[in-house]
Amino acid sequence: MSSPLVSMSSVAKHFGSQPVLDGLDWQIARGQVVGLLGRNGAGKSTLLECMLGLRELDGGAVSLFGEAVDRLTPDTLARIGYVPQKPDLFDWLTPLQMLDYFKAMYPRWNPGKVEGLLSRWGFDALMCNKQIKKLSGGEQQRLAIIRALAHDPELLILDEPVSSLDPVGRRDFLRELVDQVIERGTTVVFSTHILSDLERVAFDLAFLKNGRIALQGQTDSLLEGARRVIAPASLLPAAALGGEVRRHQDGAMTSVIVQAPGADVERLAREPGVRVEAMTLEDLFIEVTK
Amino acid sequence: MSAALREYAAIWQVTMAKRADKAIRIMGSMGLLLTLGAVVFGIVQLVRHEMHAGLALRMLGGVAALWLMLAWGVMFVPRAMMLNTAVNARLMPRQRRRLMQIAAAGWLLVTCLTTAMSGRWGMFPLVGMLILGMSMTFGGSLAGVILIVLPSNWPLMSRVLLPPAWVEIVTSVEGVLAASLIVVLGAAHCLRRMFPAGGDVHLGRHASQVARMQRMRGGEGWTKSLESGTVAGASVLRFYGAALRRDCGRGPGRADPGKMLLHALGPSAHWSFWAASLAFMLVVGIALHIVIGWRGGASAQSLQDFASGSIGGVVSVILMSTAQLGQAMNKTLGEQALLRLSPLAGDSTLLNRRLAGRLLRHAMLILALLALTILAVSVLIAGSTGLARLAGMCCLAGQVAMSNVLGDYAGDGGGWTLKRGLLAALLALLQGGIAAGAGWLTGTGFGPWLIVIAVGVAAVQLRRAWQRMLAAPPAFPARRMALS
Repeated sequence: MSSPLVSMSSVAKHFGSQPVLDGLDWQIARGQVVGLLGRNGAGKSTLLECMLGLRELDGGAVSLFGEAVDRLTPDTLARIGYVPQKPDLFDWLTPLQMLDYFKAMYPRWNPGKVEGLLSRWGFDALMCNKQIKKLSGGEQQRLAIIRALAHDPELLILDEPVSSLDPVGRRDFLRELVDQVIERGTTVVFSTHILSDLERVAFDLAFLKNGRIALQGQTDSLLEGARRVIAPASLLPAAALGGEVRRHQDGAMTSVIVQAPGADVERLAREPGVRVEAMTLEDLFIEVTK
Repeated sequence: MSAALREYAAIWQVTMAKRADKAIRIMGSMGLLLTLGAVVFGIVQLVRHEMHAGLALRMLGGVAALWLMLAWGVMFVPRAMMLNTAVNARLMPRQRRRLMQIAAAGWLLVTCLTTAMSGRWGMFPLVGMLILGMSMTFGGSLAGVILIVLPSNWPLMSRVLLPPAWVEIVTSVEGVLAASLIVVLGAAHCLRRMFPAGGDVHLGRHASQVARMQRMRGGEGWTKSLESGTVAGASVLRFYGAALRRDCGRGPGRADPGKMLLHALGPSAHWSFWAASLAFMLVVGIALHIVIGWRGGASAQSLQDFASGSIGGVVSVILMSTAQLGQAMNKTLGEQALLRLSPLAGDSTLLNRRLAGRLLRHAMLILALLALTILAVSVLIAGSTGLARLAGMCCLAGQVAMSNVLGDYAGDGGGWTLKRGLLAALLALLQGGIAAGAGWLTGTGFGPWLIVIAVGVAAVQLRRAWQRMLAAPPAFPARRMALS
C-alpha cells in the first residue's frame, strides 16, 4: 500500500488558552477527494493552514508527499494548489497582473488552462483589466480558483471555495473540479457548508469536532450506513451500540446515531416503540457535529 | 431626566464607550505627556514667581481645551458619523438631529474655550477652522485637510503671500467679526454634510466614508488612497504595474524570488510609491527658488526663513518612510500565505534572508532618495547654509526609520508600537545630545557628529536585527505566532 499523501499525527494547535486542534490524526491517500465538514469555528481553516505549514503546530507532525511540512522542497510546493477562504487577495492588481505574477512563480504553469478557464468563466478583456478589488465576491472567488488550478496541482486544498458563488458559478466550478481535476487523479481536500455540493463530488467525508476528526468514511457508505435509532431509554442497553456515534435523551425517548449498524440495531428495530430512520447528509452533519 | 436629556446621554454613551483605537491612544498619550509637562512647568514658574496666577489658569484652561478637542473631534464626531447610517438617519427618530446638536455644541465650546485661553478673540475664525478641519479629517473627509492647512499657514500667508492691505482688513474688528460669521456658517454647512439625512447618496457614500475613516485612524490614509483609484494613485499604480510586468517577464518559475516577495506586500512596498512625493518636494523647492529670486527684498527673506525652517519638518517624512512596510506586512497575510506556498519561496532561512535583503535595499533606497531630495530642496531655497546640520538630521531620522525594518515578523508583525516609538525617541535624543556635546567640545559643529553617530548606531542595530530575522521562523504570513 502506498504511503498517504497527507499525514497528520497527534496535531495540536491552540489560540491562547483555547484548543482548536487536539491530538488530531488524519491520513489522506493519493487521489482521494475529501470533503471536510464542521460547524462554524470548529477549526477547519486552521486545520487546512496547519496541513499546509502556514501555521506552526503546538504538537504533532504533518507531512505532505512524504516531506515534513516545515521543510517542503520547491518541487513539492509546485505540486500544491490552495484556495484560501478570503478571495480578495492581491486586490490592487488586475486579474491578468495577478496571474502573470503567479506564472512567474510556478515552473509548471499551464497558460492554455488559464485562458480556457478565464473564457469559460466569463472573464472578458474588460474584467481581466479591472482591479481585483472592483470585482464581485463571486468573481474574486472564481479567479482564486483559476489561480490555484493553473499549475496543475497534484494536491488541491480548497477552503470554502464556493461560499460566494451563485448556483451557476458553483455548478461551473464543480464541473471543472470533476472533469479537469478529479479525473486526473488529483487529491482534493475541501471544506464547505454546502452539503449538496459535497454529495456530488466528495467520495469521502471527514467531520471535524472538538479538534479531532470525529467521523470519516466514504460518502455513500456513510449515508447508507447512518441510522438514527429512536427508542425508549429502558429498551436501550447501557453499553454503546455497534457503530454508535452519539446518544442523547429527548424527553422520554433516546436518540442514538449509529454508523454501519450491527446486529444489535437490527434486533432493536424489531422491538415495539423503536424507530430506525435513514439519515440525510444534513442530518448526519447536525448529529455528528452537535 | 427629561426625554431629550436621556437621548443626549444615550448618544454620548454609545459614541464614547467604545475602547479607543491605536491612533487615539497614541494621541491620548501625547496629550497626557503635554498635560504633565504643562502642569510641571506651571508649578515651577509659579514657585519661581515668573508666572502670575492668571496666566497659569489660562494655561490649565488650554490643557482642558486640548482634552475636550480630543474627545470631541477625534472620538465623538467620527463615531457619531458612523452611527448616522443611511438607515438610522431615516428610521431612528430624532437621532440625526441630536447628533448634529451635540456636534455643533461641542465645536462651539471647544473653539470658544481654546480662543479664550489664547487670550486673543481675533483667533476665533482660525481656531474654529482648525478644529472643524481636524474632526472632518478624522471623519474620513479629505476636505478637512484644507481647513487644517489654511489656518496653520496663516503666519506665512499674512506675512508673505497676502498683500498687507488685505491682512489689515481681515485682522480689523469688523474683519474678524465677518470672518467669524463666515466660519460659523461654514461649520453649520459642514456639519449638515457630515450628517446626511439618508437617501441614495448617503447609502452609496457611508460605507466608503467609514472605510476612509478607519484607514485614517489606522494611519494608512496615504497608502490606501494610492491604491484606491485617486488620480495620484492611478499614476503610481501605472509605474508599479510596469515594474511588476518587468519583474514577471522572465517566464514561468524564473522570477527573482526577492522581488516577488516584496510584490506580495503591495505597491506601498515598492519604490514607485514614493515617486509622487519626491517629485512634489522637488517641484515645491524649484517653485520656492523661483519665487524667492523673483520677489527679492524683505518678503523674500521672510519666505526663505519660513521655508528653510519648514524643511526641518519635512525630515519627519524620512522618519515615517518605513512605517508603511509594517502596515503592508500586517495587511497582506493572505497574499503572504500564497507566496509561502509557491516553489520560489524557499525554506524558512532562505525566505527570511531574501526578504530581509529586499526590505533593507528598499528602505535604504527610499531613505537615500528622500535625504537627497530634501538636501537638494534646501540648497534651492537657502543655499548651503546649515546643510551639514540638515544632513545630520536626515541621518538621525534614517536611523530611527531603519530601526524597525528587520525583525521577527512571524512573531510580532513589525510596525511601530508605542513602546518602540518611545525607545526610538529616547535613543534619538541621546544621539542628539552626544552629537551636540561632541560638536561643542571639538568645535566642529553638531551636523558632522550626528551623521557619524547616527550611521554607526544604525549599522549596529541593523546587524543585530538581521541576525534576529534570520534566526526567526519564516516571516510569511506575518504576525501568525502573535495570534496563536
